[in-house]
Amino acid sequence: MNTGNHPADDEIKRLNGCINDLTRIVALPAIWMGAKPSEIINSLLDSLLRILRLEFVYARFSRNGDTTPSEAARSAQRHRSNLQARDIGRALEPWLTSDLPSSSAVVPSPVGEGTLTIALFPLGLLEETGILIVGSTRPDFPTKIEMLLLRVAVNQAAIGLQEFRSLSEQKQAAAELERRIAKRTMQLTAANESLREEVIERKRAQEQSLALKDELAEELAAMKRLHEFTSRLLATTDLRSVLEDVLNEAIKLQSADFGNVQLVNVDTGALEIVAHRGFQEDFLEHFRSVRDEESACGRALQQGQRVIIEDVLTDAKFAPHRAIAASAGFRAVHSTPLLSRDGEPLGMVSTHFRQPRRPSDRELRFTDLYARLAAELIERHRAEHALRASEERFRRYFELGLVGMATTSPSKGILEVNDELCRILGYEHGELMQKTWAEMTHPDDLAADVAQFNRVLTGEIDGYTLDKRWIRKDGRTVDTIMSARCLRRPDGTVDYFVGLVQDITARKRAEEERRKLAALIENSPDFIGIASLEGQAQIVNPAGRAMVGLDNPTQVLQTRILDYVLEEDHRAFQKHIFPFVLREGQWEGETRFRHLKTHAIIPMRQRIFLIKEPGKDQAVAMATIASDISERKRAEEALRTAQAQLAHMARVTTLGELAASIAHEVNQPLTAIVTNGDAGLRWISQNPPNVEEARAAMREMVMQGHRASDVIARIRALVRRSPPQISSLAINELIEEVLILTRNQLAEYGIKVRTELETELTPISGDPVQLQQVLVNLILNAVEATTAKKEGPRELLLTAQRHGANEVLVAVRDSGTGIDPQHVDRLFQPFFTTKATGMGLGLAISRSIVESHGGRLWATPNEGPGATFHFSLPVRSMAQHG
Amino acid sequence: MVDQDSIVYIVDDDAAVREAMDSLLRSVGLKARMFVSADEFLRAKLPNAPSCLLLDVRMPGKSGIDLQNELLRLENTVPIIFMTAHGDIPMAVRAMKTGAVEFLTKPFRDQDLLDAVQQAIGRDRLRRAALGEIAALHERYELLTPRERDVMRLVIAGLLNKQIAAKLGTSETTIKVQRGGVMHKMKAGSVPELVRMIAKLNPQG
Repeated sequence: MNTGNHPADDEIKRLNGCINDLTRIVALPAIWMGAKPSEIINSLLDSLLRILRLEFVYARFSRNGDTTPSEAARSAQRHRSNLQARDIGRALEPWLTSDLPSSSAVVPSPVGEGTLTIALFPLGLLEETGILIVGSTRPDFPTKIEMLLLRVAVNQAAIGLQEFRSLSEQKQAAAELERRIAKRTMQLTAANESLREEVIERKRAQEQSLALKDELAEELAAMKRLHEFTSRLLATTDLRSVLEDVLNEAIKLQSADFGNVQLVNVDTGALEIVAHRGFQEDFLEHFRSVRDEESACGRALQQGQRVIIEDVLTDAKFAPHRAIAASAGFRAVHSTPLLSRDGEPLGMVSTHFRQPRRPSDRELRFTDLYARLAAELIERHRAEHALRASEERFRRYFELGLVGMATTSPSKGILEVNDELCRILGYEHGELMQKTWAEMTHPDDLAADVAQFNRVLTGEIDGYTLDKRWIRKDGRTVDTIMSARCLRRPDGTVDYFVGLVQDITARKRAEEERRKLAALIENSPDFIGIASLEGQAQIVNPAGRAMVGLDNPTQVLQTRILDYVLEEDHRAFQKHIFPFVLREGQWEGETRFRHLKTHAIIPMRQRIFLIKEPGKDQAVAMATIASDISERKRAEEALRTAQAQLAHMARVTTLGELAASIAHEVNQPLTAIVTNGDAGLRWISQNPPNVEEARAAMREMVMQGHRASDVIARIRALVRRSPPQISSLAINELIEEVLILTRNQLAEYGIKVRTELETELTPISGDPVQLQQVLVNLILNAVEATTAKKEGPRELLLTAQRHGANEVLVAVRDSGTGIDPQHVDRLFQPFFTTKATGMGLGLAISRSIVESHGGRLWATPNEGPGATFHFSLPVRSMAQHG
Repeated sequence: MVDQDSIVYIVDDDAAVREAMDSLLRSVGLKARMFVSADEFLRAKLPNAPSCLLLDVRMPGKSGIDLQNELLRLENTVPIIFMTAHGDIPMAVRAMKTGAVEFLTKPFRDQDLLDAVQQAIGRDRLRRAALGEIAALHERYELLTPRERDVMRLVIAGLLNKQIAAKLGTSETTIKVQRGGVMHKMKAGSVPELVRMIAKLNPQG
């Protein structure tokens, strides 16, 4: 206990202190004037902590409208300064959330160790604001005075907060008011603005409608012009005048200064000016034919679209043409292509302006319309032109006359006819027009023609072709091939017919010929056959087939050429004959066929030749004509025999040969006699002698002796000359006969005989047999002379001609060894001969015969090789010498 | 001398002449056969015996010369004695050139005919023998194996066994054996004889 201090002093001090504290606390709101709630709280906490010397003070409070309460706290200095309000708040949580039990409690210290006493006070009115918690370690805390102070402080805080709230509410209201005023002002301003805009808008609309009215008026005017143009267009077909019109319209429409219209040249594809206004010669020349890509029209042509050059001076591509543009005086040009329905460029319309210019939409639209109309007209014009050209062509064909042409009606009348058909039928143009085709048709062909015609009328077919004959005006029949076709109307009925008529008389004639030739072959008695070049038989005529034993033409096809030929002759055919034919084109000779069934040999005279393509050298087949020469061969054989006999006779009657004959004829029996004699001697000399044989031999000898004498007798009879049988002879015939007789011999030696026999020689009189003997002798001599020469031509020439008034001269000329000049005198002497065999009597006898006819026989050497023997005979007079 | 097996063919169109000749030939013991024409002779089947042909030149149809040509073509080398009733010198020359034995003119001396016949038959006999020999040699040759023939060819060419062995690629012993076989089969006593044999077989060499 303090003895110095009166308890009442302490009390007064304490009370003074309390009053101070209270004053301080009451003064707080003054500080709080205009402060925010957090500032109020903080200041409160600071003050309380100081004034009451608390351990800590803590407040939780909500600011205006916050859902999350704020916290604030202060603690005594000695406690950690980084202690947060919320830490404290967390520590005091149990006492905050539960109902406030009382104003004070003892709790563990949230700011330090141990426990302390806390007092809780609601902040604000009705606890809406928050809560205040203070803590102290003083054991007597909280005293009544402290409680009083705290309550006052809390109240003051509440008041401050309240004031603040009202202030802020006031402020809010003021702010709100201001805001509303501002808003209203803005609204009014906006309304004012929009009103102003509306006014402007209305004014513009007014202006626009005015402009539109002008536009419409102009549009209407342009429409009217277009309409008038279209009417004019319908009235005319003249392309040029229409294009001029288009040009004028375009210029007027665009208010152009000048312009031109071009058409595309179908051949060159370039633009050519067909109408122009305002241009000089130099411009027209420059743009005579445009295909470039620099000028407006050229470009438009390329692109197929309108091209606008607003200023030629600024358009780079146009540069090459600037000079001419300057000369012509334009700065702007506008080209619109005229396109066909398929987009093909047909032409161009161009307008030119002195000043740089851009056309309006309306101008462009209307220009396009004019362009469309112009293009349509051009197209139509072209189509008409093409049609006319095609009609022209048809007309030309019609008149050309390659074939007969006509157009006819469904009633068979003739509508049009060309010259060729007139020629075919032999009528005049006018005459044909009066006729129907039916009346000129050959009666036998009419039915078939009409039948087909009717089928066309009924719609079954559209045309037909047939061979028909007509009867010409002159009554002759003409073969033709006719084709007709109808042209129908849209409803399917026939409008008219077009007919083509071709004269095939020539062809029919050729067919006739061919048929005749075929008949010839069919009926020929000779073997006629055709085979391929490879040897395959194709055709053999009936006679041929009969000759070789074929039954029908099909069998022929199974044979080959060599099947017909005798086997032995196959080699000759293959090695010689066929190659010869292929090389030379033909071969003729004698061959032997073989009957295919009986195998009999058939001698043939055959000609084999190549069949070539007309006009070419290419062989296509081999053909043969062969005739059976069995008869002829037989005749030849008989002739040969006769010839041999004649020759034999001829020889025999000339002593030269006679001697040989005698020798032969006599030597045989002589040989028999001698040989038998020899034999007999030998038989007798055998041991023992063979008497029988010897006797036989001797008998033979006797017989042969008789024979020999017979022979001599015969020869003598032969040699005796019979008196000449005189008759009138044609020497040429005699010569021909002798040549026939000697032909084989001549052929054997390969000697060719030529004759020059004067025609119509007067007959001579003489013995034909004797004269023939002379000729045979001369010819045989000539043959011998010729064959004695190894080389050189082998030719004989026989001539007969008039000699003077009374004689006929015959000559035999050879090209043989000739006459030795030494012997020329002695030729005709009997027994003169230069030959190894022969007795030299031939010429002597010949001369004797000729002279007994009153003629002469002599010989002359030739200038060339050989000799000529001549004899003359008097004409038609009796022999003067016997 | 005349053999029993030889034949004389007579071709003549004259019957008297034919018969006379037949008689003459028989009288000396020769066998004859007669033909009336060349064709008849060609058609006939003739025995394989030494023979000759008495041929008339002038005959109707095929002449004696024709027959000679035909026989040449057929390679029939029967010796021919021509007869003619005419002396035809060119004909005779031609006939002799083409190989006739003799050319006699009728009537001929009997001795001339008989001598000619003798000569002709003798010729034919030799020819046949030669042919026979060749045939025999041929048979022997056929017996040789191809290898033996190769050896034989080289032996004839004069090569030694050693050389032959080298050429054919075998041993000398083999060659000796084969050589022996050749000589045996060919019935050759010596190499020269072998050479002659082969020459006969192969006249062109």
